[in-house]
Amino acid sequence: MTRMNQHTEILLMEYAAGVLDDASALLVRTYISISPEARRYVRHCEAMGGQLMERSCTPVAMAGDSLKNVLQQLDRLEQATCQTMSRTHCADIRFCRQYNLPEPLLAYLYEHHRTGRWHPFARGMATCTLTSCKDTNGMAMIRMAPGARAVRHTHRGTEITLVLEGGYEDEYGRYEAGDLVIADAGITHQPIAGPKGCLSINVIEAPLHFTGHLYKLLNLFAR
Amino acid sequence: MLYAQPENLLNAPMVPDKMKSAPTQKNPPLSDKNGAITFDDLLVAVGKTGNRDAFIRLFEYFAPRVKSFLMKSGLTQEMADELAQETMLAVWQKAAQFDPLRAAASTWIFTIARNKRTDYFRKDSKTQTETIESVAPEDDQPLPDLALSLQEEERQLAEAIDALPEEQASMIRKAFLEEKTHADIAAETGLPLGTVKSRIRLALERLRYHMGSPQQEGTA
Repeated sequence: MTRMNQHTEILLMEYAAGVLDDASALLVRTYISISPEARRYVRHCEAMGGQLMERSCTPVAMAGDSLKNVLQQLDRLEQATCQTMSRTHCADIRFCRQYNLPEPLLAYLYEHHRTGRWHPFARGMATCTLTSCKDTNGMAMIRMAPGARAVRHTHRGTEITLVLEGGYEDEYGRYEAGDLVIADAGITHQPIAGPKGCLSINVIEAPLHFTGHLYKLLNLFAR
Repeated sequence: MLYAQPENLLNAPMVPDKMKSAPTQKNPPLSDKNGAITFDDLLVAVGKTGNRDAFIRLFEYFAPRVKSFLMKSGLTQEMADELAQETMLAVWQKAAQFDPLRAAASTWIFTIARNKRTDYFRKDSKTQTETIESVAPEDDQPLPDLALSLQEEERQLAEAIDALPEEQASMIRKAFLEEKTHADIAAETGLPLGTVKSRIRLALERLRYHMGSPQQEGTA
């Protein structure tokens, strides 16, 4: 597993500060659920946030009835029966069980009733859209068969990849399950799946730009 | 379970624990090691026994700070007050998850306030933000001797933050308190994005010494 680099640290810090878009935040949550090192770093950044809140935020008096109001709500909470979150809503439980997906990702799929439908978009490759917000970054899961070669492409925006199973390599390195890869805008690369294939989640900041020809269809992948 | 009449508690003067004589029967006494009660102890008391006195003291200290924190990202007084109340309610509800060996009370309450803020600003209200505890509940069991150093780590971190050059500290404050992305900070200050990023990187570099030695990390 590769060590965290500066880009990763900044991403984790932005997560701790709460400034990431939904898709990137979900990816980071998934990452910290599988990486103790990342978890530790996020904790450290959150401790910074706690210190800053405690020391740099001049207290502003709460409205007179705030505490009373909260205490009254506590009474109501104590009387209410405990509600446990039910996960029967997942539209496709088989999909969720098919892969050993990390907990935050599963929780997201359950909550959003995602069906997890795979769309093939190239030989040996399929994608499954996870988020659908039009105005924020999108997230997709990408599956590559063993040895599958992606089309050579470049990025107009940052692409964050979290490898969940298997692995892949490109011109810049070899990545395995648990690795987080941040590809800056302008990088051109050709990912090739390893012998076990590759399952990853990807946050794409802007549409990919394919450098090959006749690959307009692949915008499906980039959307 | 009801512990006490809120009205009575509201009228009762808040006194430091050392001076407190007989806690009400339904509020078990707060743990009192070496005569000093920390916010961590108070939060543990809320989590374990639903201790209302402890909760009120946490509220009185943290709610005005949470409110101030929320106002920095542009919320009105009223809205910030409401969200600060929600934050403290969540503190009550989730207190059982708090583990003083893993985080300080201020860190933990900050993450809840931050998540409330995110939920407020996000359009898709269904997405839930989580604390690390709910992401990875069973793992990272801290070793007892490391736990002793958490408070020390916090203290050193505070000192390190104070010692940051202002140009770095202001970037960190904007990110954490004003909810600004690096691009936002660059646009606001007129600095190139690269400069913003490198200042933040430098600050993180200086502060990371206070994370403990790498040997303490979990095995990756």
